[in-house]
Amino acid sequence: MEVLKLEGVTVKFGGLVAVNNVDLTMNKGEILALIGPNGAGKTTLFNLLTGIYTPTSGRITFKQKEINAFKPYKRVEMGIARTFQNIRLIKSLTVLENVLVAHPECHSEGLFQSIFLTRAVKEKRKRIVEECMDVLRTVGLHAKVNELANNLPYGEQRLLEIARAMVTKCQLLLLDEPAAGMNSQEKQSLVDLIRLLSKKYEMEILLIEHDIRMVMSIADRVVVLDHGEKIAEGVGAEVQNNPKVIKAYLGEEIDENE
Amino acid sequence: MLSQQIINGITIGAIYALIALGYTMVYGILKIVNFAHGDIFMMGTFFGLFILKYFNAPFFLAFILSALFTALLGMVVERLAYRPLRFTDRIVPLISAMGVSIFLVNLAQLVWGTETHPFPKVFPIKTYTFNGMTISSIQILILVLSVILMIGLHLFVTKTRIGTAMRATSMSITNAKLMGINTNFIIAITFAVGSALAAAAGILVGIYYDAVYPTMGYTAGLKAFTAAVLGGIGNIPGAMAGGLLLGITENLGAAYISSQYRDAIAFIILIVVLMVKPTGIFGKKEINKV
Amino acid sequence: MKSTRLLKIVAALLILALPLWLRNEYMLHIAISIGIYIMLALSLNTIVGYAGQFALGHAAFYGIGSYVTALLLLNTDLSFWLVLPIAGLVTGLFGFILGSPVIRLRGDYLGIVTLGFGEIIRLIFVNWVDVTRGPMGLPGIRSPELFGYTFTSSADFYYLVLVLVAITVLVIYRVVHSGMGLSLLTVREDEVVAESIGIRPTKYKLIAFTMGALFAGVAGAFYATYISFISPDSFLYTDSVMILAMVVLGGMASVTGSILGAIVLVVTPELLRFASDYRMMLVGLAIVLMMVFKPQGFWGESRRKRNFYGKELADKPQKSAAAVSDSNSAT
Repeated sequence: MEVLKLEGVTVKFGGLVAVNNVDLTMNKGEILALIGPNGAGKTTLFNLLTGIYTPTSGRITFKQKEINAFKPYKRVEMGIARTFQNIRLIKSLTVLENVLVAHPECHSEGLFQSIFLTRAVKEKRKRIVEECMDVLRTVGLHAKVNELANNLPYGEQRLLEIARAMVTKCQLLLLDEPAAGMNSQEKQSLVDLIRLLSKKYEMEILLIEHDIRMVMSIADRVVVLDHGEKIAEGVGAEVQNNPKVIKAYLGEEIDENE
Repeated sequence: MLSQQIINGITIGAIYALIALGYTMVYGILKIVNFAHGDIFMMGTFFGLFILKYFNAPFFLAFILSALFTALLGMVVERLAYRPLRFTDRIVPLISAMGVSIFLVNLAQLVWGTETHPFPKVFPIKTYTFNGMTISSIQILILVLSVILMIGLHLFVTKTRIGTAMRATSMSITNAKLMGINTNFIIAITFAVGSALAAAAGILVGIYYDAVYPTMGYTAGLKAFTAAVLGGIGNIPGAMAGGLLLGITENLGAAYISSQYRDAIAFIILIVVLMVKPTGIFGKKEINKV
Repeated sequence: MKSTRLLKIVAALLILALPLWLRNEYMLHIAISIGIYIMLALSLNTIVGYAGQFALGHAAFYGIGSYVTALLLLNTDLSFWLVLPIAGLVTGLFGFILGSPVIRLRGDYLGIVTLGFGEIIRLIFVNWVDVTRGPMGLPGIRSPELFGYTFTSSADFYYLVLVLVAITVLVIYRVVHSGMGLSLLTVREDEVVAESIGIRPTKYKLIAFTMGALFAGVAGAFYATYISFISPDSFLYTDSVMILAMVVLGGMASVTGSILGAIVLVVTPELLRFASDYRMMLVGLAIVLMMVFKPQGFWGESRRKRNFYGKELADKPQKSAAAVSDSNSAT
């Protein structure tokens, strides 16, 4: 079953076509990797999905609903969450608070509930914290809840971003280069985590990643973008051996040399 | 009647433009609003008043001297209250600027008292009438001097080495530094030039309205800032155009809508422009990159 | 722990009994002023410190609250206890109306617009003579009555302001120490992130704006009935700047900070009375020096209580941090 569908999605900034006529579908429970050279439009595509940009033309459908004009927060409510390529945590908040603030019931608490702070509200807060702790446990950060997000090592900051996205109770998780800056051991546990999330929550995961080995080991399917266009799509090796893909990554000359 | 209002509007608009240049130049480089600029303008006016009154200096000497003193004051303020804060959160220099503003107003009150001073009569007032509209010698003086100063500034910024360095610094302080530009010096010069222009405007205001008082910088500063925003803050020709536009609109508004709410008209324009096109009428659109 | 608790009780008793041991009208007046400015600083801190909106026209909200109160007390028979919430709500409404278009502006622009708004409000006070009597002001504002007892002495007003301050502190403290507070801090730091986790920045900024205006209005309502005479001169740009200085000197996004800031900036000029002519100059200088040497204020955000939301739970894991992280790395 299709959860996400892009039909002829194009976005232009002035004269620049950042994403050109891209078609894409994601099925229930799928892990899809988005690869391509720098500047191929991968992050722009994420921004289109999360509503930071709206497409110049084309259609984005999520859960059978067109979401082209939906605001970012609305898409989060519908179940799309993301992480950022350049880590964007709230520096002055602790690990737990960074996750808490993404919890839908945490930021929707009514003013009067906050002011009168009845027993019921306290109970609810306790439950929210408990849920957040569960997610933090899943990513392995539960021992660091009192640290400021800023003081975490790089790899853990990436995990915290994933936890924050998870807490929104998303159906579709967008990971923008989640392994960047991680060592091979951290990468391995990240791969395990992504598999776990996919299985445990039956969610769809779309990830941008440069590490081809990781992509091949984790993704059900791979989509390749270059200059804003989709140039290939398929399973593991068939994409890797696609001449267009090789050309996009290594340039024209390689053909002559080989 | 209409053309008369427009002439009056251009006169006051030219003055707004001179003050607005100081806001816009500083913003262009440091990306901060120098909230104390209005009070630097006030100090410049008092310097001019003081030199004319107590030393009986000839007008143009007084004009140049007070511009020099005010330039110096601007540099001192930059050195003490802004430079140490250059790499902090943007709100910090703003608060510091308010501290400077409070300091200068109270300093002026201490030295010159809280009362309103008349400005020495340096020019005989003559009025010329043609086609039913009148223009005074003072208005002509204001227009001529402002045009000269604006052309001078334009040449300074586009034709001199320091001006070029200034434009480079406003594009990127880091890059300018890498090109061997002494950015601290350039920033100090920017403050100096902006303050000198404010002093010039101050003297012209003194002559035109014949009233000088320590809190005069507040409204004038706010109006000039409006002019800078109208023209797109950071944009030098924009500030000039914005000043004229504000002066004219305000005068027409005072004549045809309500003179009591003359000042309110300027602020309403400010709010509307910021709502509709925050980059100003001549400003470029900023692209939000995520 | 116990000694700080004792300290708190002693402080509370001293504050409660202040009119008994401070039998001096002038001193009581200063204490009442501190109360007014605590409300103003705290309400502005919600906007500036927590929501990160650089608002410069707080005196306008203070003025609106005062004028609404004065006009209602002078022209109607309504009881002060009814007028007070009305003044707060009307001012809050003004905050909402001003806020809805302007909160999309960034940083300094918002500052200037709110400054302009403050000036427009003042011009209305000055020029709408039929209603406000212009620069002559509104004299003879009624004092509050409670069960037939009329508030007259400074001590009466002291207790009134104490109650109002307590309510303000409690409400603002609870709000900023809730999910709403976390959301505000997130919006302040990074709006893109806020949106990406389902928070609407404009909604939160607007709530902060409205709430800030509302409590400034309450402070204004108290001021009008306490002083019994108001004029446009009581709500100048310099008042806005002073309130902002309290917030910043005390420490942004800190309830304790605003209270400290208000105390320091009300008391310092009084202590400087011997240098009467220089005192505002010194205040200006102090603000600059503070920004240069200690921009985070007396009681900055770094002292914020961490993980206030669900405190009990969050504390637990830290104790066994080592053990837990071991078992985790094994999985």
